[in-house]
Amino acid sequence: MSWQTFVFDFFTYAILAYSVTLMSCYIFIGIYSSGAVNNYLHKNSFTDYRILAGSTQTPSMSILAPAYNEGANIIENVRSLLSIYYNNMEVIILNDGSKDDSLEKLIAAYDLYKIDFFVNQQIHTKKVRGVYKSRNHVYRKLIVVDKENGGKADALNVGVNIAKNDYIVCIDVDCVLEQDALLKLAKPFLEYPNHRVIATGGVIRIANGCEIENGRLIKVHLPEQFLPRVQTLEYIRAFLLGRMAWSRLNGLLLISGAFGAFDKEIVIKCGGYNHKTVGEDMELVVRMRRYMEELKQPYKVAFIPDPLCWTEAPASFKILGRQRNRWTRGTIETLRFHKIMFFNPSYGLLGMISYPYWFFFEFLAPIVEFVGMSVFIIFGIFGLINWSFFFILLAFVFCFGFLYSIFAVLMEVLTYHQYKQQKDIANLMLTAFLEPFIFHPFVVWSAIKGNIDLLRKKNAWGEMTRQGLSSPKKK
Amino acid sequence: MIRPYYFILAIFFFILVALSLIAFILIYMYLRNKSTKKQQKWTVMANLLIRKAIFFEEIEDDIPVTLRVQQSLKQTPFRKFLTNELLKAKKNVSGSAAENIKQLYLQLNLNQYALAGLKNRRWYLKAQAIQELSVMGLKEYLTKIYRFTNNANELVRMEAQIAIVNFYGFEGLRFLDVVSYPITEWQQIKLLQELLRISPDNFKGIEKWLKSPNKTVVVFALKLVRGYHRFELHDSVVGCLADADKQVKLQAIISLGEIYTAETSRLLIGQFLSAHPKHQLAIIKVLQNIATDDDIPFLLQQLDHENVEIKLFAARALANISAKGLESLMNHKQALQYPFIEIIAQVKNELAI
Repeated sequence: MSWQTFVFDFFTYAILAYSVTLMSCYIFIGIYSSGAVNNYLHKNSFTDYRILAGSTQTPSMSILAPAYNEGANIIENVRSLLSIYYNNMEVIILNDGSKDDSLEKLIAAYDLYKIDFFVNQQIHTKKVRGVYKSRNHVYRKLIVVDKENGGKADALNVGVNIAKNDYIVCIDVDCVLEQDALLKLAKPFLEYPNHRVIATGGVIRIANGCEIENGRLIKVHLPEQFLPRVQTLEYIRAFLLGRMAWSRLNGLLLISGAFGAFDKEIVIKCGGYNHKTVGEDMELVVRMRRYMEELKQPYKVAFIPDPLCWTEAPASFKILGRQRNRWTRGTIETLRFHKIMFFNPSYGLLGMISYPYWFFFEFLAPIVEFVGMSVFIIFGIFGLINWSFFFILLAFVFCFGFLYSIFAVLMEVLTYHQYKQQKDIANLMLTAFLEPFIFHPFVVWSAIKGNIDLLRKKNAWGEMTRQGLSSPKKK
Repeated sequence: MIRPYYFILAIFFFILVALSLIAFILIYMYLRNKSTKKQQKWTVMANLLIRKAIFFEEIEDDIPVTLRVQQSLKQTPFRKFLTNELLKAKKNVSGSAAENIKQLYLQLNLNQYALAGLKNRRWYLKAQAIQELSVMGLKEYLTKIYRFTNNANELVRMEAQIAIVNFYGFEGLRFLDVVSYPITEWQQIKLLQELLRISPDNFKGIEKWLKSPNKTVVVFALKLVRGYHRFELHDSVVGCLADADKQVKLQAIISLGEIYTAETSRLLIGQFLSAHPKHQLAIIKVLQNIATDDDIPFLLQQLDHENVEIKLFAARALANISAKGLESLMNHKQALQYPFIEIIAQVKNELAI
């Protein structure tokens, strides 16, 4: 055996072993999540959310919505937030030093005036310029905070300092929430007498193509454009399968920044959102979990499979690339901040399973894939490759990926069935077939760029231009 | 070396499973669409029957049921559908109309299926059966349901507890004497909501529950005390302040804020120094509503507390006691310095609203 053959064989089997391990994880996630979703649906069939809506005993919640240059849609977005069914809540809009007329628009639309308000700086933040409330009793739940620009994490920390309620719900101001989203998100906080529920997340779905009027979702449609459609499939896979399985294991590391509820006391004790990372949502959950593990207190990060929040997905490769680049940097930064937990048994499941999984299969996966593909091409150029074996391996991985996506579609159809037309489901299946050829390589490339940017210490958020969801689309 | 043959086999396996799943999805969607159309017909049938039952006035006779409905009842999906519709209707009507729905439910022998459900091994079918019998108000099955109030399955237990309260009101709460599993906050909300529909008439048992070894029962009892203003239990609630359980202690402080006497603020202030910071904050919040001029020195002292939140709530309490309280707050030695200048401005602003 020549050394070239040895290197080639070693490399091939290493990649194969990695792929098979990852596939085994996916099989486990698929099976385990279906049990979790099934259990949730059975339990939920006994739940009358009207009881929560009418009760005075519900957990008090403060919705925190940071806004930066959102003037175009801010009035509608706030109206949508104020119309959520929940008795015991306040809505805090955090104007993060917008350069546009967001604040003026809010003052005019909601009859706001500046109040004397003591901001308890439990978490250090940029300066608060003013706190506003409405003269109109109808908007009594609304608080608008004007602050110096400091980024999303800083704005959320101001919200944490100002919130008077026990739980904070962090959302992206341009998201469309289901009317009963908060009722559903609040329930897990009431269900575990022997565990402290420190955070709850819900499923986020893609709103591109849906009919939205006055900040409310009227009708769900599958996006017509390829990129939002493939992200629809990706989100179903990630939320309905991945996060449900991790939540059932009590090993969930990420609650999306677009919509999640947190125990305020623990957030404050952990020091709030970290503004030194672009992955502040994941970093906070990991830090909260680490804090609870170090305290040795029983806790839970819950997740519910109901589609509660609808968001606009990037529709162009440029914006998508920025988003995935940022996600990669956020993941690496979070893993780096908390590297002490890596295979550390004192952190239990968090240290022994969740963290290593994220390290090997979320952080390393695109690198392994990129390096693997590049090396195979180099081997090919030097004539060292058995092309038929290479293509068989590729087909093996591709077929598994396709099967996993079809399984996710099946779960969607059997559970929430948001896309009712057969045409839509067929479209999703076709998307699952095309994804590995168009979308996936681009996402891998964006992740690689994220790694490079991090090495070059580029830490920009990356501008996320949106097309907007407010114009209704009739079919 | 692994032979490519195994990979080709695996590829065929993946393709086969994927194709089977696709076929299943398409067939499932087709059947689902078909059943949606069928359900539209069932809705018409069920609505007609329910309407007939609601307005039925012959006490002695059976509610007339069409042959079509009788035959359709042999199909399980229709039976489940009709049962659900009857349950929904029963929840939304009262008086003789509700009685008629119950009569129809019994006349169609749907209770027999619910009774079979009670014996089912699957927890959700058992819980569903309990819920069904409860909504229909079939008290004759009390003994069968009561034994589930301490069932190992959370949902079965919850539905059984709700059913007993639904049947017997406050008297139904006697399951609290023996329940060994925790009563979740969610279940407490459901029970309190269920009790809202019933006149309390000085129900008995709270004193015993306040001493329960099950701490969630104590917490629930404390909520009952404050919800129903049971002033006579003031001393028992004060006894709970000595409980080691943090939640019990917190709920006791909050409850004392609702059933306070002239002594309460003194008792709470007595607990303050040794209390957990969370309990200290709760005490200050309660004092905001119950403190008197006598408590002003204590509250002024708390303005120097290291916890800024306690400073804020102590200032708020002072402002709410009386004009004298507000005056002493404004005369505080650091009233013109941060953070007091801002705290006082906020508190004054709140008073003005």
